Amino acid sequence: VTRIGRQPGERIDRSTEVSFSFDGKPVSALAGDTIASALYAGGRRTFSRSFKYHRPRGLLCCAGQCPNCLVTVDGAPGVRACTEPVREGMEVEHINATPSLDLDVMRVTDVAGGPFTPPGFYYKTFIRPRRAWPLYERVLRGVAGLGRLGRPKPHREWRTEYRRRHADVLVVGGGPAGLSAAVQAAELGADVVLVDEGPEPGGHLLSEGGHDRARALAARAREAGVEILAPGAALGFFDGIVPVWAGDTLHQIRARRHIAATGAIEQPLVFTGNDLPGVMLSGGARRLASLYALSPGEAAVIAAVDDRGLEAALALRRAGVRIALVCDLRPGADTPAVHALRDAGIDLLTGATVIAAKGRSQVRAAVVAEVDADGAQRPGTRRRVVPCDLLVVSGGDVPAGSLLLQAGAKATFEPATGRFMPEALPEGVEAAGAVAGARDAADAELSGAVAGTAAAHALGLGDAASQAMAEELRARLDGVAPGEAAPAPAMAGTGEGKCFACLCEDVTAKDIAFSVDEGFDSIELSKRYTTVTMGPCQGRMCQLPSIRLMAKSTGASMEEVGTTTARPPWSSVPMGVFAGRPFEPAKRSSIHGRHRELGGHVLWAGDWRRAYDYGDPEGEALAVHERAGLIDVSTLGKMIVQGPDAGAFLDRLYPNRFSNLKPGRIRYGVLGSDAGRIMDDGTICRLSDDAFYVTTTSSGAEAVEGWFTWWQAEWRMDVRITDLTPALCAVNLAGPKAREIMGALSELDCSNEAFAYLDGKRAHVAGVPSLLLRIGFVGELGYEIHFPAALGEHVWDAIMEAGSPYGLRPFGLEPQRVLRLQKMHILVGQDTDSESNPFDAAMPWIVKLDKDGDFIGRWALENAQQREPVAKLVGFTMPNGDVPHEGAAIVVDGGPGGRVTSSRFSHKLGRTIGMAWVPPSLAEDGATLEIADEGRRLRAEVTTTPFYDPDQERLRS
Amino acid sequence: VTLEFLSVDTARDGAVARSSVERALLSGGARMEVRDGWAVAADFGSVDAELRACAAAAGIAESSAMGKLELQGPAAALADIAPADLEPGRATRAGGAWWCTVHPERLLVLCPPAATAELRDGLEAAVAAAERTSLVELTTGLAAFTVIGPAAREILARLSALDLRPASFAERGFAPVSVGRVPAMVLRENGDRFLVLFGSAYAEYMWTALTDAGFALGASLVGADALERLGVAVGA
Repeated sequence: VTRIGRQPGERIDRSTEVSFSFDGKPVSALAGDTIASALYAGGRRTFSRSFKYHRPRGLLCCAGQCPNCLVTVDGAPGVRACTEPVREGMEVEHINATPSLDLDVMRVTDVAGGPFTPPGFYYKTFIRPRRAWPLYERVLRGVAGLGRLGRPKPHREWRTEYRRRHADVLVVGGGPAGLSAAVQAAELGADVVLVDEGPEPGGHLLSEGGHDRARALAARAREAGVEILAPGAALGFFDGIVPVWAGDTLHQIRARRHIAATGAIEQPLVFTGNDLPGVMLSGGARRLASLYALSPGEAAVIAAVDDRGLEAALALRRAGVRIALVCDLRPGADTPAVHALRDAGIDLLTGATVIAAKGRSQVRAAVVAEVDADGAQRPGTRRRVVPCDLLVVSGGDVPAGSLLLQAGAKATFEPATGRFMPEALPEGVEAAGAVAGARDAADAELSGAVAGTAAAHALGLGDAASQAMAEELRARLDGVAPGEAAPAPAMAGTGEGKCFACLCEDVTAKDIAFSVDEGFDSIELSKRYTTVTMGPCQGRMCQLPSIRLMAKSTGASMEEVGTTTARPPWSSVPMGVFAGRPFEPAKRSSIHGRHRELGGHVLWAGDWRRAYDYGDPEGEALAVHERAGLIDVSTLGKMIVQGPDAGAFLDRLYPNRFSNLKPGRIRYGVLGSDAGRIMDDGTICRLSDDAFYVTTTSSGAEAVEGWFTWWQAEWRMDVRITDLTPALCAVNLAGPKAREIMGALSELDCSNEAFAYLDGKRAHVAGVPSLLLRIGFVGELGYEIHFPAALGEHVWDAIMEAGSPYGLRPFGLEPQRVLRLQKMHILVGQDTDSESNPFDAAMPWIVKLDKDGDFIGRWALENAQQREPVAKLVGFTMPNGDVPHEGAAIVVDGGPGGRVTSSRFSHKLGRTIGMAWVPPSLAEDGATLEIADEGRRLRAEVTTTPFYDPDQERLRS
Repeated sequence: VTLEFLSVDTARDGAVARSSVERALLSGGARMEVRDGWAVAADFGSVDAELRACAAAAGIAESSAMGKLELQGPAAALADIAPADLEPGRATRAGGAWWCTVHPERLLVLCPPAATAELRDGLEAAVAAAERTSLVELTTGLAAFTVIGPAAREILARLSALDLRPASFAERGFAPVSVGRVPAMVLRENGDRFLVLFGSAYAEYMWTALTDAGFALGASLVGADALERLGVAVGA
């Protein structure tokens, strides 16, 4: 164990041990450890194998930014060991290495695979013979990647919560700037949420000497009522909604003001062997030492471009690391940190940087040299090879501006530091801290206070005193001098070995140049071709290096190369997070439970769950013909249209008349669009002079109600519309025994004379107030009974009981479809499409062009009446038992000339029946259709009249 | 026109109205009783335990039996019928009923089950005397669930984007909104008591979604007796 002495502000609890396993072997950790710190304490230096070349990778950032420590935890891949706290009993496994992390046979790809794996290799190699591709694909997928998903399981293994959170101010980032902003806004009365990726807010203060200040700020924020989500990852910015993944919950945060205090990301340097275990960012090395009391190495070489790296050298020395050499890229740097280093007697080389890391599976030495701005060794200087086991790099800070850019800010190049800054922030969005250019913790805290105060003031909070304080803070911030940094070169290599630009995807500097040579000379194209910035770090570590390399290869300036588009997710996140809870909004009839108890085979039908059948669709259909059947049709759309203008209103909407319909009578209606196309159909019953009861198709209910309401808003007639679809149950009692059953349940005179076909009456059925419609979608004597939904089971049960002596059976949707097809009753949307009008659909009688006044679609229907249709809807029969699929093609002159819309075998009729759109020349009784159906050629005979009871005698009986 | 076929209270011969989630209530341990023509969950074994749950986290109750009447008409005409202090986004408590402005030309009136017939008759008379107005009973068209307790907001936040913070959604707040991806309306009756109304065809789905979210946050099922003890009887 390499723990060092107690560190001020350390996160570990030395009195509490935690045990877990890594690759099946027990590991002892301390409470507060991460997986990575515990393994590091145990001597592990290789934490993963790289995506493509299977090179060993060690800890780099220790902050959840890079891909180097991805592991599988309890079966879930893609977990960053450096930020995942240890839990008792957790099972951790390595990824992407066979047979083990320390001995990976696929490392051969690093040694010998180069010629076969250039950028886009899967388009170039492994493509012949073509039939072998599935094998290649399986092999390639097996040897590359960032972990494996477990086998699919029928049920979700972990719970994902969605939580919507409104706030006055959302602060993303819990470093000094974010905490300060949250405190200021909350203390002025704002409702504030703060999100931070770390296990506790504080940012780099926690590991760089400011832990007391960080924890004091966090305590003050909590006291002010700030809700702190940590660890939590802000995934993106979606028109003001910021999804935050924290714990098992996806928080959808809608805030009135946003403050991005996302900090800056320390950048690696590109040099030969820059991915070797032992190469570590200065922030990572300091976190190991100060938070987990670990010595990151025994002897260190440090390569920096600004004071941050120099300060790291001093801190690491205090932690017991021997500092072999510090290279500062700035020639002649003269800052307080430089002086402190020299005062401490540390060997400092300015104008120099590291050009190679030596070692096979761990850094053994660093090669340093004085370089020019392009990273080339200066003539007349010599390289130094410095033995070390830790190579600390600090390539400068890049503002973590992705969320700001997603919100609409612009990335502007800053030549002095060679980086892109987010500027031109959109209204309602503030930036604070390092992402806004602050160079140290004090500046960041000041900038956070300014942003927090500004956000609160923008919400109308605060007073004159707070305004004065804001002005004073702003003045202090304006007086802060910018820091000093040297832009890192694109690459500083020895010319031997690989220099990695992108650690996630194993993209080298050479690969970037190669992509430019192949013509992918824009940053967006190169990204897609090489996949640089597309890995788990989402460009945090590789965007700036890849821009520098693109600039070097194309000769363009970095400003001209520009950045790739910032896209969510900013942090990697399990796909399951977006799936939410596994519930699908489903409509159900109030009798649904009874259908299940009766053995109903329940399936989706549009938005509804419906009984397709009760186990015997053929028998159910025959029962309707021979005795009686009962089906739940509560899914039908139902509306009340009332007011003195109700009749005129319907006359304007439908192509036929309703103003002349007598109270107590029913008429069929086909609703048309303004282009005369069939939108929906249903029945309309006039309840009184100024009230109509309108039914629609099940799937069209909401659209029809919307259509009615839309036109009423335009016409402003004396009409009110109310959707009653869920309010009423509806059942259809149909069959030759239906009258007797109705008679047993109601005092109504159900004789044909008193209650004729297309009559609508109100009466109690089984004691329940009901509206009875004598209509017959299924072609037999029938009653549609509409009644309060909450009494659904009562009425259903009463009818079933009363019908029992008559052989009444429940029937489902499937037998209903056969029965309606026998009558050639259309299903809108199945037998019609967006081009179908009533003339072509064999319903010219529904269009009353002679009626007074205009109606929706009149002009179009007048035109349609005068032209020859392209196709007509007809019926067809097939005697031999073949049933073509719905959608099968009608063949005309060897090509497609129509399509089958409905087809079933009718056991009642003993033959296949169907409907199809055919050319007008074939729309005649007796014409022969040729149907192409999945390789078969079938013959059918056209019929233009209903297959069953064409004279409606049974319906009207 | 008489729309009697929309009213549960005109049923006879022992017909009992039932919630679409009655089976779920029973499987949750409900003791059912017929009250005002509806089978309601009187309790789930212990009223005291239900009251403690409401105080500690949240109670979830089936409240669909309440009367629900929809008034439509010009805003001026509705103002003549409804209480004086109607305002968008807020419900008004008057005459033992909640008067909720769905939009300026549409009001939803909520009342205890036993008061439905009388209120309906009174409104029918008022509508008959007004111009361009109408009344439709939606008692069975809308299901209603009550969520009550300190965790109520968090439970609803699992299902809805409505801003439920007290400063944004004050007592008597009323909002048409999506809940669980379903069109719904939310009424904050008082304190931590929220009523969620939605198309009754979604009742089984909504019950599943709401209880799933609620149970994860410590909620319990609550019966009508517990609500009465809390002084929040259905629709009162």
